[in-house]
Amino acid sequence: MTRASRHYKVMLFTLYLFLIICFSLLAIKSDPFDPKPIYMGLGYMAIITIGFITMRIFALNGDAMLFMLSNFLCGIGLVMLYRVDENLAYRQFIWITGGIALFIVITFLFKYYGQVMSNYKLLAFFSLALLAVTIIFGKEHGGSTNWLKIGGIQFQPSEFVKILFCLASASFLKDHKEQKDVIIYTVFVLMVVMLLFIQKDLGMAIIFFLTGMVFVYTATGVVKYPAIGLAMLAIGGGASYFMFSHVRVRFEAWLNPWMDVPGKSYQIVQSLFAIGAGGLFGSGLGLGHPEYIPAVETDLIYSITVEEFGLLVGLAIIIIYLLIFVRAYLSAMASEKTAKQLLLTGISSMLAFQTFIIIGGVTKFIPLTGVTLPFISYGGSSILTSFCFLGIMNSLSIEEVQQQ
Amino acid sequence: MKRNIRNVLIATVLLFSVLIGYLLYFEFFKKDALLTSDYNRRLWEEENKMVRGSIVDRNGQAIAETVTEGNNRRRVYHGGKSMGPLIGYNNKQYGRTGIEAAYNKDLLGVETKNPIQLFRQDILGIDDKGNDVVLTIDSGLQEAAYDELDGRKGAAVAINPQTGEVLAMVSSPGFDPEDIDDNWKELQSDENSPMFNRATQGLYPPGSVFKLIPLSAALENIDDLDDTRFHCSGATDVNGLTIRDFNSTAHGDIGIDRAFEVSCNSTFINLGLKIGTKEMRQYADGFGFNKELDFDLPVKKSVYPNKLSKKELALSSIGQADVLATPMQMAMVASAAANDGTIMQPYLVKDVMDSNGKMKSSTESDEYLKPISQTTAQRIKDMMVDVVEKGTGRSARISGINVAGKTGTAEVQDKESHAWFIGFAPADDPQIAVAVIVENGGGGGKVAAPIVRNIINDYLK
Repeated sequence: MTRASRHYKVMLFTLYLFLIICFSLLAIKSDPFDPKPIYMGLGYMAIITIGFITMRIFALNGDAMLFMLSNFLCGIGLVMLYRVDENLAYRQFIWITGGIALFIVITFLFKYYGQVMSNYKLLAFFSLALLAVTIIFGKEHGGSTNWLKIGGIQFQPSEFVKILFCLASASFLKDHKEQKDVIIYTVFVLMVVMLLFIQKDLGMAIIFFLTGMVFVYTATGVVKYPAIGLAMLAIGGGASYFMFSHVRVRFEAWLNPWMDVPGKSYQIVQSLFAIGAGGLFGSGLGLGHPEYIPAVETDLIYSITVEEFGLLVGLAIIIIYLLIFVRAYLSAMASEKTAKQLLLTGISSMLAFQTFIIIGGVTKFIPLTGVTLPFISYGGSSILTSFCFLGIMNSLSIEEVQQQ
Repeated sequence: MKRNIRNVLIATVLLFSVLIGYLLYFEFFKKDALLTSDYNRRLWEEENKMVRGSIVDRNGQAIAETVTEGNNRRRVYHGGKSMGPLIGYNNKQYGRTGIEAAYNKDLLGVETKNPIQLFRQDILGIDDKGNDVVLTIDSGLQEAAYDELDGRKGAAVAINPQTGEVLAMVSSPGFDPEDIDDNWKELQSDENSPMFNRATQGLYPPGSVFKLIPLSAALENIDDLDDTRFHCSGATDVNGLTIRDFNSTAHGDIGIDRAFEVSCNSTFINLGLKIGTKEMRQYADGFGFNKELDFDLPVKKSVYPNKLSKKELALSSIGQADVLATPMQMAMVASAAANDGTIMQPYLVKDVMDSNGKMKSSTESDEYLKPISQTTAQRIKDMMVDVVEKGTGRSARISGINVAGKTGTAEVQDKESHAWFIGFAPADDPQIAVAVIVENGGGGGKVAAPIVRNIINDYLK
């Protein structure tokens, strides 16, 4: 047994232990004793085991670390969701199962990424088309028109556009690095951002913009580009502050949350109370107050997690994310192929921005814009997209390992 | 390109490191203040689980306590209307004020508890109890001082000048926190604003009690002060503005001691003009004016203006113009003279005790300001004794106790003057310094001095 695989086993058992303890607690907490959480815990452990074994069988030296780390996040999310709303946890369980399956499938299929990335025009077109369709047929949800409903299934197209966008960006920029190409690419990014802005999906708009900036910088290495990008962001942000009330509301709630606690800044203040109440060690699972926090199962799940598990776990979560991102960057640096380097850096940055924007938002580090916390928040679109990203990362890094 | 990726990696790690740093900063420096917010529903939740701690006076007598009757818990207040503006109330509907608000977190004991103790309480079925807050207040004195004000609008503050302990802090008319639910509307609309703590929040022109400040500046800066004779004709003209003495009394040719005894406006106007704005402001600041006081309850900042015309400077030296002071501030001025020129940091809460009677925190006496030298303080003290012996403050005399004091009659436009008196006793070893104001009460010597006398008498007897 190699040392690496021994590490994986230790991690796997730690994860099992965590899940057993948490779901047992949830079982004991309900009066009378309710075995359902334990079934769910065991079920999830089975899924993880199957996923892990499948990966071991087919891809001997793949980056199992990504799989482990993401399942830690999903596990914490699943526990919190079960504690907040049992029914959501059942559905999330299905999404995670689907996500892991997707992760494995993509790990194998993405070997053929050459074909996928051959036509950037098509990828860009689909990105824009999907967003445009959302605007026309979309449904409003929490202030943003970013949901589509097809045959009874609701989903968030902007989540899937994240994948298309990264693929399109990497395939275009891998051999278009001149200034005029950068301008063309910028126009594409701005179109995506505008479409998201029209949907009032501010968080996503910013994530796409920043990711576009990282793509350009990684491809060209010209510092001027991200500098111009940040300037554009500042000007655009300033302009929309004066033009759009929903932007102003978020900004003001950030600057002075005490001005209108029952109204505009209700979310952020409740989130801060939760995080503060948790302290370093948390109030304990089941002893916090998720009922005070709006959108607690999606955007604000980090707040209730910190309240019940404590800031130390909150910081551990941030570090787990960081490990995932850093691993992706490192395998990008290990690769010799431009397309792969770009894609790995891009998707890792996109997940990083999303994580930063929502954790920074709910802790009032930056203005709060609602996006999901990858792997932890409730939501099929978010979970599937995140696992899809992870599959791409994994696939590309496997190839790297095999080449060495 | 690898270099670019490395830079992106570094930027990402930095970004998240800053976030982690911020979260730690929030945890250790920000959240405590945040959690006490009235908007935090967890506190009320906590309150349902907790028996709120008691507020007791310096002798251990309960002022506010929570009693359990069957399954019901009720907050009971003792001391009636004298305590209301100081203690405040704790009410699910109307929130919290006063000590109940300022020490809410301690009373609820929301800090991290010893898990073993919690476990023990769980097993024994003992209700979790918050901490008790021990005040420096003497309930008896508090009630006596309130009764002395006799329903008139005003305030009284009594401090131990040697330690800074606040012995009584009264605002009249007050309210009984027991009556909040029944009388909320009336209390809110009452034009005498009984919910308002005049002692800390009321800003008044101090009138002649302010004369201690120009006197201090003069004693320490004018060399031949003792040989200077001042002429008083009952009124002084400053650039066309005529400032009269109390009752237009002409004091004639007098020295500084006599001028202070009889509270001669002409003399102090001349002194003020001689001292000048800069020095006056410096001394006012030294006594705590224009300064945020770190106290257990919020205190309004007393004001000595920054820029003054000659007329305003003249008026400010007799505590008029835009000079404004809280009764709390004037009690501090009195304690400077009482305590060899040092103002001790005033405080209201002596100790916080946990539910087992174990001391959690205790306030130590600490020096706050040192506006004047010991020599100056001694001189002012002697002059204040003379004010009570043979000057304007004779109605503060107590047989057998050497009382030092100063009267003030602060003019208010179109209304009766505010009656002020600040004083302390016994002069050779001051145990209590008092400031009293009766809004629109008339002459300080006639109206406020007897109140101070009775407060001092009550405390020292």
